[in-house]
Amino acid sequence: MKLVKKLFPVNIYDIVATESYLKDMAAEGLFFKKLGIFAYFEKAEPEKVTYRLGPLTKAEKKPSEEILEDYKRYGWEYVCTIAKLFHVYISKEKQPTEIHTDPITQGYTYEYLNKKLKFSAILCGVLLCLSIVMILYAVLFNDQPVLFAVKYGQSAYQSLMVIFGVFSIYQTARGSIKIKKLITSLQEGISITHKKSYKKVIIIMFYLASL
Amino acid sequence: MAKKALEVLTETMLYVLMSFLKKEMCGIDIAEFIEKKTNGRVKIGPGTLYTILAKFEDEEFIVETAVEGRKRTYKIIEKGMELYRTELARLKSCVSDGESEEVL
Repeated sequence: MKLVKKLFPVNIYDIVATESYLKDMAAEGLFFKKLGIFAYFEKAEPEKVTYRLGPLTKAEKKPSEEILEDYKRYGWEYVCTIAKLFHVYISKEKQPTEIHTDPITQGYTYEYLNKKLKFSAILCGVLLCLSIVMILYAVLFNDQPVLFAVKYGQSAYQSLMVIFGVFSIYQTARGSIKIKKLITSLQEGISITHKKSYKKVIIIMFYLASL
Repeated sequence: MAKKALEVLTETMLYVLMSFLKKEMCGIDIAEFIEKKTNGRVKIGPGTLYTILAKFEDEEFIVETAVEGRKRTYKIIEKGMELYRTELARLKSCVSDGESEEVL
């Protein structure tokens, strides 16, 4: 089976946008299969389908067989698990029973992901501080910092680390805020509205939460 | 870090607790019970059902009694019964308050 490779143009922390994007791709005959740096799609007849993302509620590679079997009874097939963050399900039924029918209960499913995102944000912060300290050390405690940098290539390497750190913190913080907002709204009893228009942007994602 | 304790008992959660009153139940039995009891008014999705069962087990409202292949059966225990009675009394009192209020 040949898969079509594409850049994933939506932020996966934006759950509704991701679901909408995958649905639109299926309507064009591209069915989502997996996500790494690129997203992989299988070519088939265009179809109107529904995708749902469910956060991991514990460290697991895929949902248990018991859950998969029960989801199947409701018309939901497991597709894959992306970035160790979300399980992806597809339904080909016209009006499938939603996987989650109680927003307050659904809010509880985000506890593990929320904890993971917090841990990632702390990890990013520590890495960033460490890189800044190393750069400052090389600059302030060296007689010839420029020569040192050229000779050992340290500055370029550390600067890259800082840029990566800042970018990762930005991505993780953005994801964290989106998920936090979602949890708050679910806890208030507001169900997720699954239709959303989205802007396609080229995003290179570093899913630090998957660490 | 401990998991967040149950703060609200939603309508669906109450029906899940109710389903255990007469006998031990598995996931499919619970979904069928709710569908029948509410004449299809309350629908429970598979994700909601599994989240509630996991939460209730964590909070010791129910316990697992049997595992047959992929099917898990649970029963309600005292803490769950206490919660059910308390919630039912609260709802009865709420209905009674509503009914006693005259409509202009």
